[in-house]
Amino acid sequence: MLTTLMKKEIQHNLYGFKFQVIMLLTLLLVFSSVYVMYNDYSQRTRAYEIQLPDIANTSSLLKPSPLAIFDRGLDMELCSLYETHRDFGILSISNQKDFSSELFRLFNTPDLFYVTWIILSLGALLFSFNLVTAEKEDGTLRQMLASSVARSKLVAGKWTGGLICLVLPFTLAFMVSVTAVSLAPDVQFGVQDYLRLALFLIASLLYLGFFFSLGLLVSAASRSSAAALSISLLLWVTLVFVLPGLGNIAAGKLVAVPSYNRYVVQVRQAEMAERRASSEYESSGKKKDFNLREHDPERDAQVSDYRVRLARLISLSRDLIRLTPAGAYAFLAGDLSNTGVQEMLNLQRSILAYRDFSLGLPRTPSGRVSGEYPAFTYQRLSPGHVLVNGGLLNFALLLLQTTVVFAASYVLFLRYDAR
Amino acid sequence: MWTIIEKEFLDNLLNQRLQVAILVSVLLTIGCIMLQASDYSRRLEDYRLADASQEEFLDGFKAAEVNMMSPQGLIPPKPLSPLVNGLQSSPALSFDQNYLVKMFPVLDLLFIVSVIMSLMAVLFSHDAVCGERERGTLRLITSNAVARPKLILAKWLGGSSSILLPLVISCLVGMIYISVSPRMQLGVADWLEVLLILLASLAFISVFYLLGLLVSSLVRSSAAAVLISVLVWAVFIFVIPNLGPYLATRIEPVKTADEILTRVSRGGWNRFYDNLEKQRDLNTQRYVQEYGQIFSQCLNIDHDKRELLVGEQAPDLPVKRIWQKYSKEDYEIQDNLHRAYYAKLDKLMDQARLETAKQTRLARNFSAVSPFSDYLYLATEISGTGLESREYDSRQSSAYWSQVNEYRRKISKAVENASGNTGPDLSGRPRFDYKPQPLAERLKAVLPFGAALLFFNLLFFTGAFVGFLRYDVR
Repeated sequence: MLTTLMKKEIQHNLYGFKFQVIMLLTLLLVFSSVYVMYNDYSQRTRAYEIQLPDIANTSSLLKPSPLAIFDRGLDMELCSLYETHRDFGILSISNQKDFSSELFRLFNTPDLFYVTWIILSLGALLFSFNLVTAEKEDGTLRQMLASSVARSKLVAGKWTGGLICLVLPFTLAFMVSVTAVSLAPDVQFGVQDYLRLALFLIASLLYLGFFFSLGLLVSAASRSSAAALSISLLLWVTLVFVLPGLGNIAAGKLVAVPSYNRYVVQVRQAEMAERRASSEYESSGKKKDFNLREHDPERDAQVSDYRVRLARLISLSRDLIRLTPAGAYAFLAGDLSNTGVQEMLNLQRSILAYRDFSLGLPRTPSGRVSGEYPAFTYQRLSPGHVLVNGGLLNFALLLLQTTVVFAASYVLFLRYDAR
Repeated sequence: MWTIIEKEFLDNLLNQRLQVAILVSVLLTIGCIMLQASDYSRRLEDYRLADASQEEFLDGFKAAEVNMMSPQGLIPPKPLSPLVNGLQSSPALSFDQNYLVKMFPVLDLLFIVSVIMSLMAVLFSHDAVCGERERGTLRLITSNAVARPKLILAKWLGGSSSILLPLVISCLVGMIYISVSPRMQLGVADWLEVLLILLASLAFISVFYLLGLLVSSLVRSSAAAVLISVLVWAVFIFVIPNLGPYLATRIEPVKTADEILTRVSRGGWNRFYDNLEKQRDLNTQRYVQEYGQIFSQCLNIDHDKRELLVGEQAPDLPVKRIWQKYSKEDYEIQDNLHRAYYAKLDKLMDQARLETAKQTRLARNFSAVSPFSDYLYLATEISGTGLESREYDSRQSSAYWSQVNEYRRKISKAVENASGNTGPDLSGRPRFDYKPQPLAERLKAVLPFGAALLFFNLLFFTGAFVGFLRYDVR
């Protein structure tokens, strides 16, 4: 019976106008986003290759991640040039800012993640918001229930059949895109990359499954399609935009961090003070050892304190935001693509650790490092590391949310008045 | 016609959905404005503290240290940024910023209008025609000899005015909050800007109401109408605006700053360095030939011994004077060649900036196909958080930096000539006097986008009008 109901749902959807429109939109969006982001990746890789030979081995310049084609996340920031300057042994961290078009900052990156996160989640809701109410309004629901079809099987059939129709075009488009990208000459996917992509696909399907289930829940809780539509859209806006934004606000209220402007002024003052000190040192003709750590410890403490607070704020924000499906999916997709928050935090830790390590190296009296200066190296996180450090939790949260929503729609449908 | 307008207006107003929508919009708007205002006042206080701290720090500099001064021209937060974050909310990220704010931006009025209210407009208008046809009332109305043009016009006026009600109420409540809040002190010019943003918002929401009406006049069923309307809405709000900049990079690629620096440094720097060494060698040879042993002895000894011979504390012998003259010329050769090199580099960078500006214009033109982009450019520019304003602020900062450099050169020279004295005091150093871009200039830059919004209104209305005239009401 369940298989029959699933088949019925699948056939009904395949011949329906709704499915055709959403399928067309999915294919169009997936292919165009991958095309656009592949070009973006190629341009960035070209720029990286031009720069690389002239970059000091004490600086951080990462090659763009090929998975940024699917989720660019923070890849621009990760691939910025972070130079550790040597000035009588004093190290500071800066990054060269690009003067590329500020217009990009007004809009979002149209990568596959964004398409799924915003548009396809809306599509999933539109696919399912009237699964129950439309049948009720047509009168077919009463007929089906009157022919002793078990409600549990009916709702399970609707959910499964509908979900298959929703995710098939997406999965197909995704696999074709991955194949096309892997054939590109400037992209080399390793085994780990394919594993990441498979996990990215699973995460995306889970996310779409959540919104599909949410639409079914709303439909099972509403008397009319019009009401179901309004409620669905309101929920979509709340879950995708409002709640994640609130996460940042709530964290900001709980963890006090000085503003970035004030921090930048403090850092500049620290740099100016260090330059003055080294200039005084030079002109005084002193011969004693140059102890870098004596340079304005108060300012060093201020900078460290800012970084510690910022890390705490980011950590708390992340924990609050991931409670929403949009947040959990965003973090998961980014981390799996090596372009997420985990990667950024890891890179920052590595750069700061390198800086501290270099400051501790034995130096000549004038402050220069004796012997060879150690190079900075960095390896992007492995899928295993990503999963163990929050990835599995994000997966579990998505699965739990989808399960809860489906369970609620199941229960509501069992009590639904089909008249 | 007024009867029909009233009927459309009341139909929507008495609809529970609209009442919920009004409540949600008002609460969201108030919530966002309160949060943003709190953030704004914190940023304003931080700006004042940062500015004061910088002034105090620079007051401690002596004339001899002038070349180590690198003050920053701090830009204060814009008074209307709580309503429209624009570029203020997403500063170019660097090592020490909260990048989660980039991923999950805080909502502002711009978001509420452009996403939530436009979606509401589409939802309430998608069945304005086909819904009435399904209910059978459309046939009744048209059979009562109500002219179709009047009917569609009345549907637009009555329906859109009911949808604009949440916007007007939200903005009124928001403005009352702003006017009583001590955190936000708006002047007359600021209130004018608020009014202009409100007008732009009205035009924007009307576009989407007309979109729904257009779709409704072209399809037979509400189910199909809602699907098409919402999907077209999604394409206009999320797809076209975000694709525009990337398409522009494909057509007008621009080299990055790092790429230019690397190209120049790889070829240009080596050539520059070789030339510099050559010029310095020639100068040194000239001195050796002219002064012979008396000069050569200084060249071939170590730094400490040379300091004893020709340093500041050394006796005033001919060798000292010759060495000082040589050092000065050597410095001038380096300085001149450095300036020439960096002038060339600046020229390349300026060229890249021009190309970037060209790319930006192209990207803006692409994305202007979407009413959302037109509204975004209008609202951000009016509030001073847009591209043009940012560019204007950058130019002010660059001009200030040039003033500081000039001042540093002047003081350095004065310190050289003072020889042994402390040099002039630095209380007359240039201060950054920030002036926001005049509203008229900002409006001039985005007038085409305002016209585009009006054009969309006309286009969709015309489509709905023609569609309805030919609509089969059976």
